[in-house]
Formats: sequence, structure tokens, C-alpha cells
Amino acid sequence: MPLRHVETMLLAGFGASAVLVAYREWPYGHSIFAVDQLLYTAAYAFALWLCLRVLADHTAGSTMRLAWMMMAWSSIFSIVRHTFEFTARAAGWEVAMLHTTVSLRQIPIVLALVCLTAGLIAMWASFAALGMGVRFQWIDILWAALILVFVPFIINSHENMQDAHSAWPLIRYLQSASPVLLAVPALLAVVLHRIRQEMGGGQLAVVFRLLIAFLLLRLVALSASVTAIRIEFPVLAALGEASGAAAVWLFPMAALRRWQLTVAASELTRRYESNPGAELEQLADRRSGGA
Amino acid sequence: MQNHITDADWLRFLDAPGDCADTQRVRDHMAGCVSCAKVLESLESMREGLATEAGRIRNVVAISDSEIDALLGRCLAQIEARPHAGWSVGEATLLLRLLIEPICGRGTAGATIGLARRRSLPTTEEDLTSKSWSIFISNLSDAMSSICGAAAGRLVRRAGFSIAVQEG
Repeated sequence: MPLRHVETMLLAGFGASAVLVAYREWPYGHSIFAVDQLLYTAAYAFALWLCLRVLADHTAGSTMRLAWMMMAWSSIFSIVRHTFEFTARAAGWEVAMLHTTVSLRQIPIVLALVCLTAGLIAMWASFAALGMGVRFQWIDILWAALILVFVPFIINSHENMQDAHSAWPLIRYLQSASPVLLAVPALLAVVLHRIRQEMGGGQLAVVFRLLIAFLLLRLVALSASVTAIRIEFPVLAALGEASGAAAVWLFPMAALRRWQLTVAASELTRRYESNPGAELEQLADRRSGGA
Repeated sequence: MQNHITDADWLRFLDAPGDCADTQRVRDHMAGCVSCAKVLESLESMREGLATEAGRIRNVVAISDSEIDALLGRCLAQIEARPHAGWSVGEATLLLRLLIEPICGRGTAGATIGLARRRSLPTTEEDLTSKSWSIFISNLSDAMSSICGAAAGRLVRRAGFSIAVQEG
């Protein structure tokens, strides 16, 4: 499948998810059945496919390969979670078994977040080996503090969380942990932001930008869905939820950009194999042009 | 035997067998020299054989004159675009930096080049040389590979080894 078609599909999914959830939320109550869950499943299926391609580009045993492998696992658990939620809604379990069977969704949710966090830490470790992402500035600490503010804010609204009233204590504990489990990847987004700034541009920086937006918007969406904002400022809540729904597509977009980097590098290598002289002359021209 | 036909005379004669002072001398000599006449006979039979074989090959390959011209044109272009006669180590490093910056950014390019340089030089040396270039390229390729993947690492290796590095 040509990569530009994949990009078009991801952009379409991004727009469709945002519009659908905005329609459901403002004013609250419009039915979209479980189409949003189908869209999320598709987004994570794309993410899984792209993560597998990217991890295959990294040598066995490398930290970056581990990072993309954990992200692939995170995608798998997210697919399981959204497929399960779609089934629950389609089968009407949300009426009769909301606090029992349906609440089991917390298991894949937590596993996906743990894998995502592990992947982000591995990614950070790869750059730390180069001395990048290890020196922070005041603005980074400010961002981290801002993110941490969300955690008690969400924990206070714990009662509004979808599985806070599960019949099973384990599920209730897992649900209570979700603000922290979302905040840790968001804190790692601050680290990625620092690395991105130290990169000073390039294709890889675009990958990081998309990952950062993905991580932060999810936290914003969770805040919008469980706090008092939903009642007092329905427009803001709808906007937050729509952003969160669209944000899911930023993850496969980031993986796509990363895969495009591999494709471009392979193409350039082929050009160097067939005519290295011409390619070097072009590079030299760029040098003299930039001088 | 004396005043036999020299190699240079043969070449001139075979290239332009028309009437001129040199070729006339060859003809006159062959009229009285059986051995040189036999040499000419064998040379001409060899030339005919080569022409026949060349024609057969051409027919088998079925390549037109215009295609041959295009092929030659491409070969010439490739020869003209051959790698620079030699880059200094500093210039070569700069070229590699230009290659990897669009992929991973200026900062990452600087960090990977710095790491590869440190790994490639013994503690007693400060600057890369043409001798340490190969190990530098291998280390840079590994560093790029760890961040941007094996494809980017291969690109660095391919480009790095395409650069003819010389001292100075």
C-alpha cells in the first residue's frame, strides 16, 4: 500500500473521530452507536502495522527496537480494549453488565499504558546514550508541574470514572491508577519535547512532535470527560473529548513518519550505490549553497 | 633480416591502408618479404574474424546504434560524475553532517558525529585522519542506526565509504 494512501486514511480517521465525538458530546446525548470504538480499533491496527515495520528496521537487542516493540504491544492491548468495548456496546452488555464484564476493559487499558510508558522510557534511554534529553530547563519543570496538576484534579473526580464502581476490587484499583498511568507518559512527553528541541529539526523531530501531542491530548481528554468541566462548560468538555478522540490517530501518524524515514533512507542508499559521485556532488553543492 | 616492418608501421598501415608514404613503404617491403606478407595475412584474417564475431554479438544482443549511443552517454556521464578526487577529513565530515541533518536534525547529527569521533580516536589523537576514517564511518553508522534505524545506518556507511578521503 503506498504510504501517501496510508497518510490520507490516517488524516481521514483523525477528522472522522473528532467530528463524531464532538457530535456525541455537544450537546451531550447524540447516539453514534460504537463507531468511535471501531475507529480507534482501526487507528491502533495501523499503529501496530507501522510499529512492526519500524521495529524491524532496528537491530536485534537495540534499545530503540525495544521501544518500538513495547509500542507495538501497547497497540495490541489497545486493539483488544476497543474491540471489547465495541462488542460490549453492540451486545448490550453496558446495560446489564456495566460493573462486571464490561469493567474488565481496565485490564487491557492498564497493560497498554504500561507498555507505552516502557516504550517511551526505552526511547529516552536511546537518546540519553548520545547525551540528549538529560539536561532540563526551567520551562520543562514548569510543563511537568502543569501536567502533575491534572492528577489530583482527576483523582478528585474519581467517582465519575467509567469503572470506578466495578464489582471487582482489582478493577477499581486499576481504574484509580489510570490518572497516574496517563500522567507518567505525559511527563515523558516533556522529556521527548526536550529531546526534540535538542534535535534542532529533521524528520525524526516530526515523529516526536506527533508523539508529544498524542500523549498530552489524552490527558486533557480524560480531564474533560471526568471532571466538573463536563457540566459547567459543555463546549470545553466536547472540545476536549473530540481532541482526545482525534489524538488516538496521532500515534499511527508518528509511526508512519518514522517509517517514511526508513523508506527515504533506503531510497537514498540505493542512489548512492548506483551513482555515488553524483550524490556526493549534490551534497557538495548544498554545502556551497549553504555557505 | 633487416628493415622489416615495425609495430608502429603496422599500426599506421592497418589504421589507414590508403596510399601515403608510410603505407607505400610497407607495400614495397612486403612485395619482397615473405615473412612480413604472412604477418599481414594473419593480421587481416584476425581482423575479419573479429569483425564477424562483433557482428554476431551485435545481432544476438539486438541493440540499436541509438541505444549504444545512449549507453555510452550514460557511461560517460557516470565517469564525469565520478567521486571527487579527494576530500579532506573535515570536508568529508561536513558532507556526512549535511547528509544526516535532514533525517535526525542538527543536534542529533552533532551528537552522533561527536560520539563516533570519540569512539574512533585513541586518547593520544585529537583529529580524524584518512586512516581512522573507516572506523569513524563504522561508528557513525552504528550511532545513527541506534537512533534512526538500520536503513539510516546503511546510508551513512554507503555514503561515508563513497567519499575519497585524503590528508590535508
